[in-house]
Amino acid sequence: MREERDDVLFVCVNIGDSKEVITDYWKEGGFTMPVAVQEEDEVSKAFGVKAYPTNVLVGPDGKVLWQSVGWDESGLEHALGRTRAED
Amino acid sequence: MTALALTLALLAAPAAAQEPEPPAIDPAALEVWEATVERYSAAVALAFHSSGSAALEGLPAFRVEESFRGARPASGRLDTHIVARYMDQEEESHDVFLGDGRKVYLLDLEDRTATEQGESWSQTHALSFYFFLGPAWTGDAYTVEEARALPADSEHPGWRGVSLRLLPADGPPDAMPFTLWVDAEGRAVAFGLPMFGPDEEPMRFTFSEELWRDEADPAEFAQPLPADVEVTAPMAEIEPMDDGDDVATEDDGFGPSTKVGEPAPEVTLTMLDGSELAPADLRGKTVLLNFWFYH
Repeated sequence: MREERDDVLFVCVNIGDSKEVITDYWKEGGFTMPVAVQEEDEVSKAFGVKAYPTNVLVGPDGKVLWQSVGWDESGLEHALGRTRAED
Repeated sequence: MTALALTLALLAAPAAAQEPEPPAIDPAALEVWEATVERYSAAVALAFHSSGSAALEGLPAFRVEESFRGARPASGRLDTHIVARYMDQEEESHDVFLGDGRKVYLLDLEDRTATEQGESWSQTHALSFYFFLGPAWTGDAYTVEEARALPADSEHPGWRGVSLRLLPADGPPDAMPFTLWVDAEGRAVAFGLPMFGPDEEPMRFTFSEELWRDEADPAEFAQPLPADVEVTAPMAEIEPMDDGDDVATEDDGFGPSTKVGEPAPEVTLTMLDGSELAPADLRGKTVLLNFWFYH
């Protein structure tokens, strides 16, 4: 993101990689965002994710604000802009 | 996107009598095929394992370092069920997969452990093998729910790409996204996954790349379409896909099943460090969930 948004929690939900692989990748990339792991793809299944990467933005009320397959930065910024406008 | 008539049909072989669910495969119990097979392609080794007899000729040679033999499940399902680790010409090793139609196990030959992947993963790889190796590999049929032509390929002007939503004949009702490229002669030259949304190039694997010969002319490795694949309309007539800046939505078939404006599923996230993020922890916050993998 071009703009820091500390009111948005960014969580990476991994599928299929070992904890070692994720840890190494995070170390290598200097990433700090939280990563969730899945035993049985349970989160992917709950969200019905079919392609990777998929992004789902969930609002404070628990409703889906925006979602995309792939990395659609402009769409995300637009959706985040809307969340600020509603604040 | 308007609905399209079916333009491609993968026709089923006559359905066998109702067959039992495939037996679960225990990767730990697999018999290791002891012989190191020199100068066999992975495909040949795979075919050998799969059927015990099918010999595929004309495929390039690879050294199979080690491979497994798994029982072929007695099932009409499209299965991926073979594993081999083989060495490419740079002596880098590559692992392939075993599945039972519901799960694919990524096997780590070093410590004989298996990582389970999900069903859609299994089907994706099974489809790859289907187009790669032909229907002898697979027992299942898919119907094409929707097909969309890809923009013209600048690298290979004669190629036509089509993104398909496939419905397994007797599998789960979820549609599978799959992408296939056909050359000017109507031979399958590449397959792929529309992983990055419709506004970007889908990930593509040519059969030559799949055989780790990146420099080779893909046409050299072109495969005839399986005999039970019937092209019922010229692909050129398939409605071109928008190549504008449209964003994938749930309507494209590749998006998640969640819907904008509706409540997201309430799940507890297990974090890398073992801690948990419960729905209550997230309430009142805007959360961006990024589903990803590295492998």
